[in-house]
Amino acid sequence: MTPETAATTEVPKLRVENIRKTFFRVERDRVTAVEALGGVSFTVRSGEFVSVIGPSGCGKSTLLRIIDGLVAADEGGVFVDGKKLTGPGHDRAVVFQYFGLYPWRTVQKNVEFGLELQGVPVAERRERARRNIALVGLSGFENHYPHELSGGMKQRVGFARALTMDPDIILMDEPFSAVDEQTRELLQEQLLDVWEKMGKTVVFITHSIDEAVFLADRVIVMGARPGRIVETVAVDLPRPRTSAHRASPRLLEIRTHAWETLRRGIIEAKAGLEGVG
Amino acid sequence: MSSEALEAARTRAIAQARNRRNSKTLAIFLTAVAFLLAWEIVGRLSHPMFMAPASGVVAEFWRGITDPRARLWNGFLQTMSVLVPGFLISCALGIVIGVLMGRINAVYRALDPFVTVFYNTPRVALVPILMLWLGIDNTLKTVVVILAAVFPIIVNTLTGVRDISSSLTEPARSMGANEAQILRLVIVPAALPFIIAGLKLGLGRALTTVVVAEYFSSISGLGGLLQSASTSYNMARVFVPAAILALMGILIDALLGWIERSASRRYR
Ligand SMILES: Nc1ncnc2c1ncn2[C@@H]1O[C@H](COP(=O)(O)OP(=O)(O)O)[C@@H](O)[C@H]1O
Ligand SMILES: [Mg+2]
Repeated sequence: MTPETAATTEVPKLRVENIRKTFFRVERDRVTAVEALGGVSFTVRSGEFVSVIGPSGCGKSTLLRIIDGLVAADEGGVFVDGKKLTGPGHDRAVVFQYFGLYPWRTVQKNVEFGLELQGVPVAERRERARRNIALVGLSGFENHYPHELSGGMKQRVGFARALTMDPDIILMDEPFSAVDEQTRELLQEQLLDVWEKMGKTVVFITHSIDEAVFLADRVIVMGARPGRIVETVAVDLPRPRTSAHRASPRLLEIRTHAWETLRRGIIEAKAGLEGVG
Repeated sequence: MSSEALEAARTRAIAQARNRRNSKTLAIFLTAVAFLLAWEIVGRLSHPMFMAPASGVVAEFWRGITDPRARLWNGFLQTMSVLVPGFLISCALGIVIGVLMGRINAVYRALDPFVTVFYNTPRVALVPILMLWLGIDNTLKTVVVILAAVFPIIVNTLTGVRDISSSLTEPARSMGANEAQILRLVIVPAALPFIIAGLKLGLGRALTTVVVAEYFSSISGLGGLLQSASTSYNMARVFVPAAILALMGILIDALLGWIERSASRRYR
C-alpha cells in the first residue's frame, strides 16, 4: 500500500475547505462590504475536540453557521465523512450562545423538539429526551419552563437538546459565555465528562483562551479582517482532564503560546487596516 | 433558619396573599353596590323618559326573557348569528393573512396599502354605506363585521410575527424544521400574545359594528331592539339590550384574557 492510499482511506469527520463569506450592507446608495471569512480551511478527526478562538467579529459564529448549513458560503465547501453538505442535517447539532430555547415549551418539550420535527413517535422521543436530561444532571426539572432556570441550567438544556438529536458533530458557539465563572468551570468539566463517554466530534467556539486550551485537543486561532486561521495549536495534555490540569505548567505554556498567536493575529489585522485605509 | 421560623414565614406569606385577594374582591363588591345604589336613587328621582332605576331595568329584563312579545331572546340570537360567524371568520382570516404578510415580503408589499387604508378608516365614515347595504340580509352584515374586525387582527399578528428574532427561528432550522413546521411550532406560539391582543381589538370592533348595523337597519337583533326602545321613550327597555351587549363584551373579553394569561405565563 502506498502512503497516498493510506491517507485517502482516513477521511476526516469534518472538512472545511477554503470557506469565504462576505456580507454586504446597503444603506441608500452606499454599499459596504464586510469580508467575514477570507478562505478558511481545516479538518477535524472523528471524536476530536477542537476549539476555535479569535477576537470578536472575526467570523467565528459565521463559520459555525456555515458548517451547520444555516448560512451559505460564497465559496468553498463543508464536507462530513467526505460528502459535501447543502444545508442543516441530523449529523450536526448546534448549542447556541443565546441558548435558543423556546420559552413556551418545558425543558422536556424543548429537548424533544428536534425529534418532534423528525416525526419520532411520542414514547420514543420522551424516553430519549429524558435520558439526556438525566445525563446533563437536570432530572426533576423536566416540567420547568426556561424562565425558571439559571443561565447554566438553560445551557445544559441546550446541550441535552443537541445530544438528543444524536449527531456525529456537535457545534458549540460560546456556550458558556453567559454564565458566571464558577458555573462555567463546572459546565466545562461536565462537558468533557459527557464527551469522554459519547465520543462525539466537537467544534467549540470561545473567546476564552483558558477555556479553549483546557477543553480541546487542538486550538484553532483565528484573526480578523478578513476572518482567517492564524495558527493551529496542539494541546498535548493527557485525558481525561480534571480541574487539576487547569494549573499544570504544560497548560500554562500552551496558553501563553496561544495568547501570543492571538495577539499576532490582532496586530496583523490592525496593520492591514492601516495599510488599506 | 429553624424549621418553626420557616413554617411561620410560610404561613405569613400565604395569609398575606389571601388578604390581598380578599381585599380586592371586597373592593369590587363595594364599588358595584355603591354604583347600583346611586343608579337606583338617580333613576327614581328622574323622569322615566330620561332615566330608569336599576330595579326597573331588572324587572324589564325579566319581562324580556319571560314574555315572547318582547323579542329579547330573538334579538340576542339574531345578533349572535351575525357576530359569531363574523368574528370567527375574522380570526381565521386575520391570523392567516397576518402571518403570511409577516413572513413573506411579496405578500406584505402587495397587501400593506389596503391594510393601512382600511385599518385607519374611521368606521363612522362607513355608516351611509352600511345603511344602504345592511337592511338587506345577514350575509352582508357578516361581511361588514369581518371588514371591521379583520384589520386589527391582521395588523397585530403582522407586528408580532415581524417582531420574532432569528434567535427563535434559527434553532428550529438547525434541527431541520421545514417552513410549515416553523410557522406552526415557532411563529404562531411566539406571536400569540400579539395575536390575542389583536383578537380583543377585533372583537370590540365586531360588536360595535353589529349593533350599529342593526340600529340603522332597525329591524333585527339587539341593535334593532335598542333603536325601537329609544323611540318608545322607555328608558328601562333601552337599558336591557345595552346591558346585555356590555355583558357579552365583558364575557368574551374575559375569555380572551384568560387564554392570554395562560399563554403568556410561559413567555416570561
Ligand atoms: N447576517 C449578517 N449580516 C451582515 N453582517 C454580518 C452578519 N453576520 C455577521 N456579520 C458580520 O460579519 C462579521 C463576523 O461576525 P461573527 O461571525 O458574528 O463574528 P464572531 O462570532 O467572531 O464575533 C462581523 O463584522 C459581523 O458584523
Ligand atoms: Mg459570535
